[in-house]
Amino acid sequence: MSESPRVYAVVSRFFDLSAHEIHALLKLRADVFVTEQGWAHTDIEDVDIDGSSRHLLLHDLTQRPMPLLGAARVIDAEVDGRGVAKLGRICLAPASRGRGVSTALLEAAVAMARETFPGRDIVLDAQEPLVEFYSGHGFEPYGEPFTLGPVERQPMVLAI
Amino acid sequence: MRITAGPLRDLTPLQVHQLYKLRVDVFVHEQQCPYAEIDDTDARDTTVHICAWSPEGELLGTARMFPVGEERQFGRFCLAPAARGTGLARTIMERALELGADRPLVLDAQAPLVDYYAGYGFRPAGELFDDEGLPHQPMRREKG
Repeated sequence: MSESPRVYAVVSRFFDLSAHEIHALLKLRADVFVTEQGWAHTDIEDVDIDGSSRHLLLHDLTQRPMPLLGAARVIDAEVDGRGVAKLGRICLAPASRGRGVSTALLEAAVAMARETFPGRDIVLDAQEPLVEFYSGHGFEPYGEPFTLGPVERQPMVLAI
Repeated sequence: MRITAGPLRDLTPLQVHQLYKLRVDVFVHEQQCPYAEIDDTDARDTTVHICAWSPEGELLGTARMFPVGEERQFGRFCLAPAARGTGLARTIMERALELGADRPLVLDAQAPLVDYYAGYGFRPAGELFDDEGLPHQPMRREKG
């Protein structure tokens, strides 16, 4: 096991990322959600480039060039007619799993959601094996589970 | 219609989004093939992304070329649904042949497209192989 990474979180609009940062971000997402999960879906969406969306890129400061450890996205969404901050595309590179990065990733993602959409509840659709992980960080299930792609998902909310 | 050809770093954030979105929409979603569509080759400075843009800035089609040994590999050739049947494929292919004329060009043709590439001077080179469930034929075109 290599030493623990020192994480550095960058939050950005899509348009403020460089071509190489976008490459790393979209490649990580495709590697995880398409290839690893065997899900042939349209992973790259127009909402990625929406001016209100923000992307989190979690880097490792102990290495050069700084590898991308994980990523997440927050978008403007509605639940029952109320504006919410919706987190999604939360993923960790295989090499950064089991090294204590997941908590740093989620905390940075929640901070990003709070800053981008102040005063709103934060929601996400948890992949079923991760419901407990999100529960441990204050998220609570709401609504019915549903299946999207290869896994069942549980809507969860972190109330303001 | 405008054609650009260059490394990834020359593209704007929106253009990278359009490029990767079109390829993932076509090769992953439309062809229902969950493979590693975006790879390290994309980000290399020696990789040329050929892109055809509409006057409004929509990406109509793309292909990429990169050096491998003494040859140049051609691939990731796809058109947006709205641009199919418009003759754009020929425009992109001709630009690729022009840009890649200094080396032999190789490609892995999806089997139904072997005759299509033969029309541009590519000849089968090696055995048919299976890539993620789709049969592919290696093909080669001598330089010039």
